[in-house]
Amino acid sequence: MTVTVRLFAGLREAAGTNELCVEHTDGDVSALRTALAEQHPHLAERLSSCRFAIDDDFVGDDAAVPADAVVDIIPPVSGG
Amino acid sequence: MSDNAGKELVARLRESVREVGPREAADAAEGGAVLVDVREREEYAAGTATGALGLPKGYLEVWAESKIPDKKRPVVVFCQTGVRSLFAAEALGRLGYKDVRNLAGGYRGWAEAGLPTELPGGPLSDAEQRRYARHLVIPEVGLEGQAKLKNARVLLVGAGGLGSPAALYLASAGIGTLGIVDFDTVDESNLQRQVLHSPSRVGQKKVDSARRTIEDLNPFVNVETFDVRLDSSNADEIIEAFDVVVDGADNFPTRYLVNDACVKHDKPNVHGSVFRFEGQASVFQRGKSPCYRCLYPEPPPPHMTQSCAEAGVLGVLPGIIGLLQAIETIKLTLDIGEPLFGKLVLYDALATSFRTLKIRRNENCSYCADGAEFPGYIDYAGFCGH
Repeated sequence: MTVTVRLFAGLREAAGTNELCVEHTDGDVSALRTALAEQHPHLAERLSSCRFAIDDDFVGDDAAVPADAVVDIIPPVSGG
Repeated sequence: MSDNAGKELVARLRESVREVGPREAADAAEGGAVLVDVREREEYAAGTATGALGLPKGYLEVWAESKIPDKKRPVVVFCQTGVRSLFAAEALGRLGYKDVRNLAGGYRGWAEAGLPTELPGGPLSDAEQRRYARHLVIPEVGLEGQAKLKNARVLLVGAGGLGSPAALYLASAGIGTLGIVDFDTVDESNLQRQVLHSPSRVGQKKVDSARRTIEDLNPFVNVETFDVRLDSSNADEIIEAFDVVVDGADNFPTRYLVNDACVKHDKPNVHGSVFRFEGQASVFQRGKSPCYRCLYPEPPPPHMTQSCAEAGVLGVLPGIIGLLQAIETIKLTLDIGEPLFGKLVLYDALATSFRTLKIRRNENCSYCADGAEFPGYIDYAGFCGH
């Protein structure tokens, strides 16, 4: 299945786009993180500190990712 | 209608409204009744029965239900001499309050009986009441609320992009004591967004520049400055002395430290952070919401993080986020509305989008989990790979 991920802040800048499609064999957030890192290696290092949200709800690594999900990936930002 | 209609009306009300003397009123208050001062705001502000709620007669019907939601709760109304309050008692009866009594002899009788009185605005002067007039007419603020703002001690971590707008508005609104911790000096490149500072202050300490701006804006504000870098050796002493902490830091080590110190001292941590065109805001408080570590357990690798100096930030953006922090601070101080507990506001200026994402507590959080003992401060620079 294909999962749409929306990117924010530095992640968006690194990817050069707001949105990516990830080929994702059934699984959880942790598997999605791995799949995204494999398909977009230049983002890999950033993903460890990012949080994933589905339907406006931050979810843990063991949360299931539904087939038609749109997943937000939010990096911490420090600017003030 | 007779020429004495007014007197006759008062006489009729005296028959239908239950009247109590000052001692009886004080006993009723002791037993849970609410004392309501229905005089004009200026009369109330000059002194009232201790603990009395100010509800001017002209606003009675409009405000009563939000101020006294329980209509079974006994109410004792009073004015200066006990006549105006008869009409107020009747009005409350019409609104459905079941047990309304009138204080015979009014506030004068109360004071003459030697019962306790107070200045409800605390030490709010006439000049302050003029300044905050638009607050005083809001039922959710009023004199009591303005006194809460005046008694509040708010710490701004950083007098930069976020701290600047927050400081300006918190000072204007009447936060009594603003603490500012910042070790930096004003640089020309700050001026595009750090609105506390101006070209004439370039090279000066940010805390000194901030103090001058705030004192110009509102002389009623007491400014306490800390010309240091917040670190684990001084965080306890500084943070402990404040009621609310506004995190406007510009780096991850300070943000984790602010979180840990706020967890340790049970202070609300009003978070804001920005990157170019985007901002995040939330309110963290132990026992009431997740903490910053529940949201972001680990910082990004250091070579992946960019400060405003490196990444740049759009000028107005920190204004939006800093003011979200300011209004959350006001809400927390007044205890009104719903603070941003357990929610992260995500603002994208380019898309003009505000989204609110739900944050859950990490039950295993080493800092804020139920019953967790404070694990101590850590090497924050090392933790963030600096």
